[in-house]
Amino acid sequence: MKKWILACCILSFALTSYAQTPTINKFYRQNKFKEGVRNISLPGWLIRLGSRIAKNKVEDDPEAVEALKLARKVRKMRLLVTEEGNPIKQQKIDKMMRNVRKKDKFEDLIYVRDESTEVNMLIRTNGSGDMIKNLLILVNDEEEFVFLSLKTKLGIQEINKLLRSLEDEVELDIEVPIPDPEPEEILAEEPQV
Amino acid sequence: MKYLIVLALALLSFSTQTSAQDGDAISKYFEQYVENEDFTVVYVSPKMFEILGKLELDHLEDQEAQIAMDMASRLKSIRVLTTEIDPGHYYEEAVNKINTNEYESLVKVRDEGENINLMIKDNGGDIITEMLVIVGGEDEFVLVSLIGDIDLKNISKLSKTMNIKGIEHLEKAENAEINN
Repeated sequence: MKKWILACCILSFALTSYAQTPTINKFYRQNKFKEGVRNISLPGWLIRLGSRIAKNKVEDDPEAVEALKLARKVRKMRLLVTEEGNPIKQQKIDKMMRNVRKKDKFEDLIYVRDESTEVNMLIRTNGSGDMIKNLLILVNDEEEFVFLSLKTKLGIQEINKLLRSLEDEVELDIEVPIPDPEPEEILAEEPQV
Repeated sequence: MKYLIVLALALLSFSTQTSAQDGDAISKYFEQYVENEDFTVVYVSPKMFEILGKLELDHLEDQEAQIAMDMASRLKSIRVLTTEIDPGHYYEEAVNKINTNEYESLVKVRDEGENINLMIKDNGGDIITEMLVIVGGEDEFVLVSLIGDIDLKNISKLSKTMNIKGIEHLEKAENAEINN
């Protein structure tokens, strides 16, 4: 009897951890077989295997090695892509975005809209905010729709390590001066347009 | 118990009012353009700056870069609104709409046919809580709102680390600081 209770506890725990992103799971499940939608789902072990194989090819490039180390922190990747028109209704996307923030506890990171193209990047962190557990990137256009969901175990420490490896490049970026022509005049009054 | 409920409601309504007042100038004065396809919108959220604040940046040897990253980690959000359609009209609208009792003009510059207006909002003390960059030229209108704990002396250094349209005009703030 005790074994059964223990098994139930372990199962419910496993289901709870899987159900931390129910909105994402549901959206992917409902849309992956729609006509015109291409879907890719990669388990973490395959990504880790791929990064190990790729590591041998880029051993001379320390930045690429660090980037591959980050890729190894991805536990699962799910991708939905549509190219010629979007068969997924905008209302469904809006509802998913609402629920992902409310129920799945995702937080906005960056939002960009240029003409009709919208890009949303959201993350879900652990309680202390030291680890990125999920990353969601959405690109929504009249013609194209991209839904990329990553389940990760990416700690701030790993990002720090990557930054250190990119140190030289960061410094180079910062040292490039931005040309700033001297202002012709500083107006005391309201400027004329 | 009644007192507790009343107190909780009062606190809740107060916090709602405060958050409404704390909105940036773009959400206050230009909300209708955020959905308009003539405009390009960029929003960098507080979460992004929270993560930035957790990064260890001691290894940056360049002192300017250190200061810039420190500045960025004290920001809460950045919102940018730009358009290339009728920029003069939107510049005029921005200058006329923004409440000058709330936002103080820091510097106005005309530079090669471009009008640049930097405005700041403080908390009543020495701390600047919002900085607005309004740019109106022949080609484009740019409105940038930076929210957070802003240090005027070092704000220009942000323009060297962030590649966001309009941010480069922050260098004018340093010129204003020198002139003052």
